[in-house]
Amino acid sequence: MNGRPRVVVTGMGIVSAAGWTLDETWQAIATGQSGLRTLSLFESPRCGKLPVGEVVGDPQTRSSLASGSRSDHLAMWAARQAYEDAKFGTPSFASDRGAVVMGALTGGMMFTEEFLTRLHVEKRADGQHLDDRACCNSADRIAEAFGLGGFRTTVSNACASGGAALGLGCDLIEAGEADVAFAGGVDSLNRVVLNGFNSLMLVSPDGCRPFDAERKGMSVGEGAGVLVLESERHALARGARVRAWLAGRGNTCDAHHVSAPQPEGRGLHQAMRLALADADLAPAAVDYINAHGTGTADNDLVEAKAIAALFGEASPAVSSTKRFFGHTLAAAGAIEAIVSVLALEKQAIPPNLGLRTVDPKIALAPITEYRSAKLDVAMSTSLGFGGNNSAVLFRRPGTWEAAT
Amino acid sequence: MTFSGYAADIVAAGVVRPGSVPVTRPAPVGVAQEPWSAYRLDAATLQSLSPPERIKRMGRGQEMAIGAVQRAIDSCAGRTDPPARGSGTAVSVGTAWAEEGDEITFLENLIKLGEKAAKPAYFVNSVKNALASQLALTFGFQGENQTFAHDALSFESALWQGAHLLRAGRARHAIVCGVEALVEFQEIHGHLLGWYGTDPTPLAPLAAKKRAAGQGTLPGEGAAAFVLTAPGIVASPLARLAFVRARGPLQRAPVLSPKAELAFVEKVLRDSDVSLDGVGLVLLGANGDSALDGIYAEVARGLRAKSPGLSIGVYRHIIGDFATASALGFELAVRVVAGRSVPNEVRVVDGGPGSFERVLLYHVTSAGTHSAIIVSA
Repeated sequence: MNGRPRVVVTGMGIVSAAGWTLDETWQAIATGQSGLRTLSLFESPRCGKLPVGEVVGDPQTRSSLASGSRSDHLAMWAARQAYEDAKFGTPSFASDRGAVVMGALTGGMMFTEEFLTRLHVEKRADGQHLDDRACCNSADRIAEAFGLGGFRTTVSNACASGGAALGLGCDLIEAGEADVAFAGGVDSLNRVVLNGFNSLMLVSPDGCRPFDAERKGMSVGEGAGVLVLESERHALARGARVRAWLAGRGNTCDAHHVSAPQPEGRGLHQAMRLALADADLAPAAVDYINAHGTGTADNDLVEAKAIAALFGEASPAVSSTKRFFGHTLAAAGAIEAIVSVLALEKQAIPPNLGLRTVDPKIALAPITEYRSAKLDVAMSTSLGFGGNNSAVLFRRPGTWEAAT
Repeated sequence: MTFSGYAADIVAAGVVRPGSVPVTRPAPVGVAQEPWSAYRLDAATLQSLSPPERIKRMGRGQEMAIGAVQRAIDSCAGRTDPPARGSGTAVSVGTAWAEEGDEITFLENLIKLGEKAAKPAYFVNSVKNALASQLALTFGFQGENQTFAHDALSFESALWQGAHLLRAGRARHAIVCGVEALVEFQEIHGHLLGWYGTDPTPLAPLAAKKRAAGQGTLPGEGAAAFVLTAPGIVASPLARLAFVRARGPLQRAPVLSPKAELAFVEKVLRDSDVSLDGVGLVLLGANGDSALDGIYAEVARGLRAKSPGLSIGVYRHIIGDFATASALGFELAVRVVAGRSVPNEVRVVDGGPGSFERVLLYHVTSAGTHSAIIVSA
């Protein structure tokens, strides 16, 4: 330890195409059930037949919010689960010591689209719902619902946002700015992201197959993941159950290209290396990596190179879980961090669903079947447009001497 | 921010902003009859910010951010080495809307021309970290790279994170930038929701004589960038970041209370261990909207009652209203401390000559967010 307070996970909440709860999500993973399905949320002439990770059902009925965007409802439902999972007593925490950091990209994009349609097609300017279009609304709603009166922000680091939000949550606790931080990510399906990725020819027509020799791209998804982070002392003082220690994180930028990753994966390599150094662990200590693994040609190749360069031939178990819920963009880092923590709890490795034959250019052997394993340390990686990379590293309770 | 001592040295600053007079142009057809005014950067200035050979295609915000960072880097000369390429330099950007213009263009193409008209370049630029990643790409900064997109808390978040990275030893330099590019869609939004007025004359925050149709402010845009280092590394920094705090409300559409706002500022002073008597200037973010002027005036009155020598200044009459305007206010605060005098851009509304070794920058918005930053010599 380096004198900083440990930051532990005491609550988690999740929603994605794989399920509305932690249990449903893990059940889908354990039984190999993909949540990808044909888009039903809106009509799309060019993308309507593409498999997507759509959350089926109305998130507003779960969020208990009277208004807000689809992203807000998804985020609120995940936060509600996390709050209940953390089993806060009364009083839960000092309001000004409670922070919220959400990763988000598109917010209420559908409201923007509805407004522009009214303006250009119906020729009328009606500002209804426009105020709910901002991506920061989800963090605001969470803060309001749970009395988080401290530091509040929204991180928008493309598809690395969720991981970066977890890192910032740690920063706030370590700096003494907060005792408790709700940190995570959210994004919802909309016409812009679906057509945007499709225009870049990055979307698979038959569902993503990360690391596969015949992979054809990603599957766009939606969802939210929220983790309750606490200083270990605060958690132990209130008798909270510690689910994991968020022991390390790394964040870098390739500075290489606006949308493509650096071909050798140097930025991701450095982010993973920083996460290990932050946790004071050697590469050999890592038992499992939940890879970003989108299923695009570039991402998977680059990620595999970065992992191979850092871990060599003694690579830990690796899998991408994107085929369970699609690429949930800003939520991905948070959702996959939660899956990593669940893997530590369940002592089991999630399978790399959809993988038939590993791309021969990829020097990894992703785990294809759900498998029991002794896991003490798990890492989750994320890459995003603009060369943003993040890595977060979790340790299982019992693998360190708790603070007294 | 609860650091002991001050948080970071500010070693350089650069700004891009429009002229101090609003520009008027017709409102979009079908939206409004009266012309609209805004503090808008002219095309020639915008074009001059980035050498043409460096530009493939950039959005307005990217050009402004690059211009501000380049000016900040240029101004390092004589004081310190410029931030190095590589992993030692972090980038922390606050921007509520980033390149929303490109996002709107992408969407409008889908609506007007159909999905076959989806243009990848607009999509890539619509992602909010397009600004921060373009800064990394342009200047070769490979350290931690964060984009904060939280309305009027965006710049303060970036500032906190930049200082934290330095304190934690995770960067040698932090480039902190606040930027907002004004696009027509935001003007439409703001006018429909009643935020913006139609009086074309410059804003007059806390002025005795109100503008016509005193309600509402005018939209603006701009960018300010700063080079920060950990305390004590540079012999003669421009100024020091002593404290930053930003908070949001716990209810939607809160009723603002001058008493609560004054309490917020006083708590910041207590938590930062700064005496009000040690503050020379309080720079207010009053944006010319008479609905907010009353709050700012009460806070100023409350502070002056406790420290009669305090000067009160405003600055939004030169840039208008946008979410990360506090970045430009921060640059003025730095300049006040660095020069120990009040630049022309700041209009002093109360008080007079004094010691300007410490400035308190305070903002409150109608949405209920508020922030305070303390800049010291």
